[in-house]
Amino acid sequence: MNNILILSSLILLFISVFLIGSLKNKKLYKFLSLFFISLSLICLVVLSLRFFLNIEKNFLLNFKGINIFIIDFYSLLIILTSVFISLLITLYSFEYISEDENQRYYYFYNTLFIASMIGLVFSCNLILMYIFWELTSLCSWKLIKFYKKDDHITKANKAFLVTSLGSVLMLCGIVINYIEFGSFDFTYLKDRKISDLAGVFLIIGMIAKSAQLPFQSWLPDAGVAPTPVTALLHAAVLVKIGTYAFGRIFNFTFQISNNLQSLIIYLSFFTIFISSFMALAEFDIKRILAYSTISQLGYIFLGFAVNVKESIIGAIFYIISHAFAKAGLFLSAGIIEHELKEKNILKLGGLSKNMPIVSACFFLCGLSIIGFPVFSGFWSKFFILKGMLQANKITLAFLLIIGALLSLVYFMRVYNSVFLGTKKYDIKQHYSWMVFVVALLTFFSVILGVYPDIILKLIKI
Amino acid sequence: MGYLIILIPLLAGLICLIFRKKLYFISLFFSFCCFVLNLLLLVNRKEYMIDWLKFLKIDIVLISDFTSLISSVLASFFGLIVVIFSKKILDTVKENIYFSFIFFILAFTHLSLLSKNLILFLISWEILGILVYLLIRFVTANDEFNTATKAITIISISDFSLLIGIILLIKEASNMYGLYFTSYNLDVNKYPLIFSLLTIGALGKIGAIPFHTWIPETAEKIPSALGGFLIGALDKILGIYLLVRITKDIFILSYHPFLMILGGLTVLIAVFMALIQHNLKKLLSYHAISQIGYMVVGISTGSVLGIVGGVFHMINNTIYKTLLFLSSDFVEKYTEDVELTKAKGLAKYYPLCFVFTLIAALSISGIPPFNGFFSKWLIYQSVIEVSKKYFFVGVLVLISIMFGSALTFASFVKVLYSVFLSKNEDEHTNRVLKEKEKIFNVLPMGILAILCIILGIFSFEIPISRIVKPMLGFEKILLIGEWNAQAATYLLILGVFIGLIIYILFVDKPRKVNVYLLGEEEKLGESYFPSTDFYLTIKQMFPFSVLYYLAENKLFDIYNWFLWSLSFLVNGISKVLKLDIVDLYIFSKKNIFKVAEKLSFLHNGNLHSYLSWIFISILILFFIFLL
Repeated sequence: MNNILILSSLILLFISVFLIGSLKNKKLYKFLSLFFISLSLICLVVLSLRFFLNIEKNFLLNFKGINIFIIDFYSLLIILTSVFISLLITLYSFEYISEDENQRYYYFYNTLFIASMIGLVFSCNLILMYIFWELTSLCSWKLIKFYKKDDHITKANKAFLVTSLGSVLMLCGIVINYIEFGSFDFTYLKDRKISDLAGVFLIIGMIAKSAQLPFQSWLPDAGVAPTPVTALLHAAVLVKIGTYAFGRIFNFTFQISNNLQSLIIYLSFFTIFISSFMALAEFDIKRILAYSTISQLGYIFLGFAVNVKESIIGAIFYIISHAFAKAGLFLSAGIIEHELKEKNILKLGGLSKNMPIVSACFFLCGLSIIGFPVFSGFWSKFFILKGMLQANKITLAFLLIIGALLSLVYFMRVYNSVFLGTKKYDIKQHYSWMVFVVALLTFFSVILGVYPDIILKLIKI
Repeated sequence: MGYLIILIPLLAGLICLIFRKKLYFISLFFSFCCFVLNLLLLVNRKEYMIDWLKFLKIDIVLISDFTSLISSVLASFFGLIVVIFSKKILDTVKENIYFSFIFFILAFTHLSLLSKNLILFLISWEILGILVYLLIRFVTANDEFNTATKAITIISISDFSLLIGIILLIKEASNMYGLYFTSYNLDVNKYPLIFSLLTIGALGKIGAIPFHTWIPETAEKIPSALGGFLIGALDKILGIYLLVRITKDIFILSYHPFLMILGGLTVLIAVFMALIQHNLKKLLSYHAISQIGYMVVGISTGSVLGIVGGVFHMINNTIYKTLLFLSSDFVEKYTEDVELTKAKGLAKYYPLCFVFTLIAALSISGIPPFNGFFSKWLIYQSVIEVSKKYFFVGVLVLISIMFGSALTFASFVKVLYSVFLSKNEDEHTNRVLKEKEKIFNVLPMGILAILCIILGIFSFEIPISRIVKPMLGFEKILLIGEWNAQAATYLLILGVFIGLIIYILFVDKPRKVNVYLLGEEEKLGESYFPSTDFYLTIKQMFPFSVLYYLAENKLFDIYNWFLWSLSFLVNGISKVLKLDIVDLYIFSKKNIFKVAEKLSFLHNGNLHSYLSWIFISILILFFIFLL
């Protein structure tokens, strides 16, 4: 039963990709994509229900004695969030790219990306993970250059090359591991001590994917993509791959050395601060949000790197809560861009009167990212902080709070410039699917804050 | 029943947000319910458990001690007073927003005050920060978002400090005491960081210097009655509540010189700023800041007397400060502005308002027998005690707070003169002065004014013995100086009475004659001295002139310092990050192209060259394998 459910969730999406690629009816693409993503999600929900209601325990899907997929609370939580948000973003895209000619291209790679994401998250060995990893890079590359403008192509190439550099080094790490332990299988590698060299190579791959310093520059540039792509790939799902893999490899599989732990902790701090400052220096709303993503991913890495139970809970919870809140923020920005064709915050203003719902959603999602109680980001940061204090890293915990304060400052800067102040545009908000999706994401973001136990009790470390 | 104290105001807030009619009566009903419920909780002291946050593996408990319950009663009392007063609010503010935010803020104030658990306390405390931001945003124009941003930034700085302080506290002491507000009895010298962080949280909430700068700007923009509720009452109740918890419960009672100096400075700096204000709301807000100094000084002495004085002063301050803000709201409603540059002469139109404002002004200035005097008297005594051990700090602080009191009186002389006593020469005010004093305005002001008198005359019998002592849990309070409020009151009344008799019997009445002009034009008019010129001399005097100049240009504003340092860092970092050498992609791309360019001479299209390279390569490979 479980095997069927997992494989169906994956195969259904590949069928959808095939159909989108082969059919010529323009109107069908979006419905095909939505329909198959929904089916895939239903499979995953059923699988999760069986798992979380204790009908099933952790299990592995193997093929001819080789472990292919692993199903545990971690993979299920991440994939449920990813596919659910992907579904909402696909719904949002109906309206956002309704005018574009290239819809087949969009839905093809969008659905392929979701399929590869499912494959990646469930992967039980390093090689399979690597294959899906590269597939997501490919989709990201294709989707960034969706509009096919020259500078967009350059920026897409940049994203692809930087993440590929990381992937290549990651592959080196995988090979070194294989030489050392003779296996790619997570279950075999569990609790073994990874060598620093292999660890560094793997970490480079992850931080390149999650746009951490010094690989950060591709993510803000990738903002040229259509907003649903930016929200899906560069805020909610794709960039989380690095953090997910970090957790899977260094928290749930290998034993990480102190040197590697310190390396990633300091790198995360550096990333949190530098990218927060960069967010303050930018004027393009999507670039600001991209820097914010980089900064917040730093918190997730930090949580995993501290490697204390509380901080890991915080990090996992933040992967989920950040996905909702940041998708809400990006999609709100997308509505503004779609309606006004403007991304410069200095040229925007007073939109809270024109778009009250979007304004409220943006504000609430922003509070979550900042970490205001009782929003979801608060609980994540609280647990990470608690973990850091347990690990006796008091100074760093103090800096973490300052980092949260910086996020308040850059968020207020965006909110004030875009939604408050003098009214510069005279438009009316129409109540579309786009607004509905943003409101729904905000709703989930708030719910996770008000009642975080929904997720926290599922995290079984 | 415990839950209701949070749920009722929340429900009231939601109802006010949804309904558009009869909001005043709905609010009146609910605020009265909150007050009665608070009193019932006080009488029937009991702890209440909520298991909403059980995932943290901790019990969330609504506390039942007097410190929390009395503070909560005070908060709901001021909620009721402000609601009674607000039958007619300014046209610029939406009624539903006005009332709903009063209730939302009240709900989370109750939660903050009644939370036994530190986490729940922190959550409600931070939510209050957001509510303040939203309130400012909703009641001010869209263009004035800077006020709200400034407020939330400064509040957040202190809140984040509180957050880390509490987390450190949990780490250090939770094994022993759980996560509750309880007698941790930590030593300040052993945990100076926790003490400083928690104290910053409290000082940020009450708006002590240097966290004060958002208060005058906010007070100027929001309706005065709301200002009274928020700045005059709730912030003080919450901040002092936390400060008392920190100094008395979490840490062992001890003398805190730094805090004391900060208190003294707060009194002096804020009162000097108040002196030169021409806007009644701003002036009142500076006085609100200045009064915080007294409370902080009292608490920082670490003596029973000082803490009692500080808490009693907090209660007094909330009463007369709310009264003053209500009075300002009254003036704003009836004359349409609160600028002191225009003489209004309202005493003859609104005598009750004048009398109540006068009582509040005398109370805040520490004139006996009003309530402000006795609390200041207690604080002075505690500082004198401190000065016996720590002479320099004690004497300096004592001088500054006593001087501050005198300057407060001077400042209110200006207010009373300008708003009530001077001859009305403002045409606009004349034109709009039509309405008579309304009962819903006069009643709450009257109640507060009576409280100023009663708490002053019966200061030891009622507030100290019945409220402050149980609130702080002290068995005995040893007064050093003698003060018999009743006797002093009788003597004062007697003095005034004798003075009046002497005036009536013996003072010659001025003789009024017409000026003989000898056919010339009349040039002599009635002389008028604008209130704004009252303290011009101080403003122009060196070094005050320089300090005032710097202060008016916001050079002492912590928010501006924050923005400047941030902008410096942002510019620096963004310039560095935009360098090609830092961008891994651009750096690699450039260098790879450079190397490729250098190597391009090898690809010259000449067959002989290619054959030569192949030959050389084979030779190299041959040697490698051979060796």
